[in-house]
Amino acid sequence: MIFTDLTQEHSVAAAPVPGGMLATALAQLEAAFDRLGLEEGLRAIMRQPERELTVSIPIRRDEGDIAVFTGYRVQHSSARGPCKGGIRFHPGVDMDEVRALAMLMTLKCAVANLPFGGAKGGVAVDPAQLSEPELERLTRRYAAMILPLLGGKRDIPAPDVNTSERTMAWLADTISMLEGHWVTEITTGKPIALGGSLGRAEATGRGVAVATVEMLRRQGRDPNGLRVAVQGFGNVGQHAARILANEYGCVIVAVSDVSGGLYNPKGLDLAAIAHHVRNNPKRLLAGYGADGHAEPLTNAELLTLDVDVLIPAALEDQITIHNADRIQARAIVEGANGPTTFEADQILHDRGIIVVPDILANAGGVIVSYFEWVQDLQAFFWGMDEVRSQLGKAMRRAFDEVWSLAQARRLDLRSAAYLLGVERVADAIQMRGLFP
Amino acid sequence: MTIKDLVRQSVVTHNAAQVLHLEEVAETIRDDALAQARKKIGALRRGANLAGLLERPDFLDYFKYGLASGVANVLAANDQNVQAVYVYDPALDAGSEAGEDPPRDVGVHLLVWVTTPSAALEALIASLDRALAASLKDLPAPGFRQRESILDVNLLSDDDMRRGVNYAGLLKGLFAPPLPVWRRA
Repeated sequence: MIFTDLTQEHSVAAAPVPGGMLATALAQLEAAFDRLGLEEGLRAIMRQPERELTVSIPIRRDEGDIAVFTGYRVQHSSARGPCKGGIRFHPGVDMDEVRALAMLMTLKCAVANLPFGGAKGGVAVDPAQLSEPELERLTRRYAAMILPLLGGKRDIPAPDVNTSERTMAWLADTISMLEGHWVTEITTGKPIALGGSLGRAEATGRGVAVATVEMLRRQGRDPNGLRVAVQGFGNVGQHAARILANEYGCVIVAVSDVSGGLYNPKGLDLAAIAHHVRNNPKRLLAGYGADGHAEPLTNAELLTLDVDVLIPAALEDQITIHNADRIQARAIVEGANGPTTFEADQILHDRGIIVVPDILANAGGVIVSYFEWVQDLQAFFWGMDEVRSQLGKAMRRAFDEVWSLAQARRLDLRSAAYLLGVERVADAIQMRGLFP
Repeated sequence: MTIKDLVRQSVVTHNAAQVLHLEEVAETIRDDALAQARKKIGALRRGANLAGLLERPDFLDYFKYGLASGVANVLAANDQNVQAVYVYDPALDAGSEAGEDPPRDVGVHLLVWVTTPSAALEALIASLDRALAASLKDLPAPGFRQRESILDVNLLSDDDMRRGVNYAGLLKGLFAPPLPVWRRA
C-alpha cells in the first residue's frame, strides 16, 4: 500500500511544544517511525488527527446575558477501536494542546493494548468564573454540539482537568435525553451509582506498583526489602506506596508532597502517615514526624536519595538537566505524567538508570476506565477483587510486552513503549486498509 | 466592606501594629469567599446550612478559589513586584480518567510570580496565612478547625518564569495547568 503525505497542515508534530512530555512524545514518535521504517504515508496519517471539531458554545449567564465559549474535540485515531480521552475545562485550552493530548491517548491505549484509539476534548473557559448552573449549561450544550462524534462505539469521553464525575453525569444525561434512553457507556469516570467502576481511586497507583514489581523481577530482584522513595503523596503516590509496602514488602524510606518530605532509612509507617494526612487540616505531610519517627527532607533531596526505586508521582518536569546527574536511584518508575524532561531522560539513559515510562507505568487509570466501559456494555458490574485482579493482569501483560521488545531491540523502556504503541497503531491502519 | 474596598483603602502592612488590620482583612477575604461560593452554587442549595455546603466538593472549590482571589488581591496591592497569581491542585491526576473527587484538601495552593522576591513579601504571606487560618477556625467543617496554616505559596522569580524551572514549570505543563487568579495589567 502506498501512502503519500500531501499536506503537513494541522500536523501534531508541527504544533508548538508546550511541555516536556509532549516534546518527549514527539521525539519518541519520530524515532519509532524511523525504527519501524514506516513509509511516509503512514507517518503522515499518525501525525495528524483523524477528525477535529471546533464548536461555539453559547450559554445563558445567570444574569440573563449570553456568553459564548469555544470548545474542541479531537479524535486522533480510531484505527484500533473507539476513540477514548478526557474533556478539560481551562482558559488555556486550544486546538494544538487538544491535538497533542489526543495523540498521547492513542499511544497510551495502544501500549496497554486496550481496544481504543485516542481523543481529547476541552472548552476554553475558566470554570471558577462560572456558577454551577452555568457550568451545567455549558457542559450540556458542549455535549450536544460534539454529539455527532460521540458514542459508546465511536468516542468515549472521561474527566480531565477541572472536570469530574459530576461533569460526566451531566454529559451522559444530556446524550441520553437526546437518544431517548439511558446510554451508560457514552462516558467513563461516572459516579458509581450511574455505572462507574469500583477501583478508580487506586487504579493509577496500583498500576504503578505492579509496574515497579515487574521491573524488579525482570532484574532478578526480590521487591521484599528494597528501598523506595515516592515523590507525591496524592492519589497516585499514596496508593502506590501503600501497595508496594503491604503487598510486596518494599520499604518506603521517603515520601513527599508540596509541604515537604519525610525520610526514615528503616522505613516509614505509612498507615500512621496516611492517618496524619487524613486528619491534618491541610491534608498534607507537614507536621508529621515531630516525635522523631521521620526526618524532614525537601522534594529536591528526595529525588536524589540513594534508593533502589524512585517513583516521581507528583508533577511534570521534576527530573531535569539540573538534577539528573545527581539521581542515585537504580530505577525510576514514572507515576506522574511527564516527570522527566527529554534532556534528563538522555542523562539517565547514559548513566544506566532504568526508567519505566509514564505511558506504561501510569496506565492503570485508563485501564480501569476501559473496565468501566466493558461493565457498562455488559450491564454487569464487577467487585473490587475482580477489578484489582484484571488490572494486575493487564499491567503485567503490558509490562511484559514492552520489556520483551526492549530486550529484543536493545532499547530503553520508553523507546520500546513508544515503538510498541506506534507499531500497533500502524499495523491496525495497514490491516484495515484505506476506505474507499 | 469587600476585600477590594479594603485594598483600595489602604496598603496592608504586616508589622505588629497592623495585626488587627490583617485580621480584619482575613475575615473580609473569608466572608467574600463564602458569599461568592454561595452565589456560584445552584439557587436550590443556596439556603442550605454552611456545614452541609462545606462538605460539597463544588462549594469547597468555589470557596477556596474565593480565598485565593482575596489573597491575590492583598499581595498585589502590597507589593508592586507581584505580577501574577495562579492557583493549582497538586493532587490532580489528570489523564487517569478517574473522575473521582480527590481527598478534600482545604489548603490553598498558589503560585505567585514576583519580579523581585523579598523578605517583606514572605513575611506578609506568613502573617496573612496565620490570620486567615484563624479566621477559618469557626467554620463548621472539621478540615478547618485544627488548622495552623491554610496557604501554600510558591514564589516564582523572573528567572524561574524565563527558564520554566521549579514551580514555573507547571505553567507550561500539559497535565495539571494552574488557573490564573490575578494578573497585573
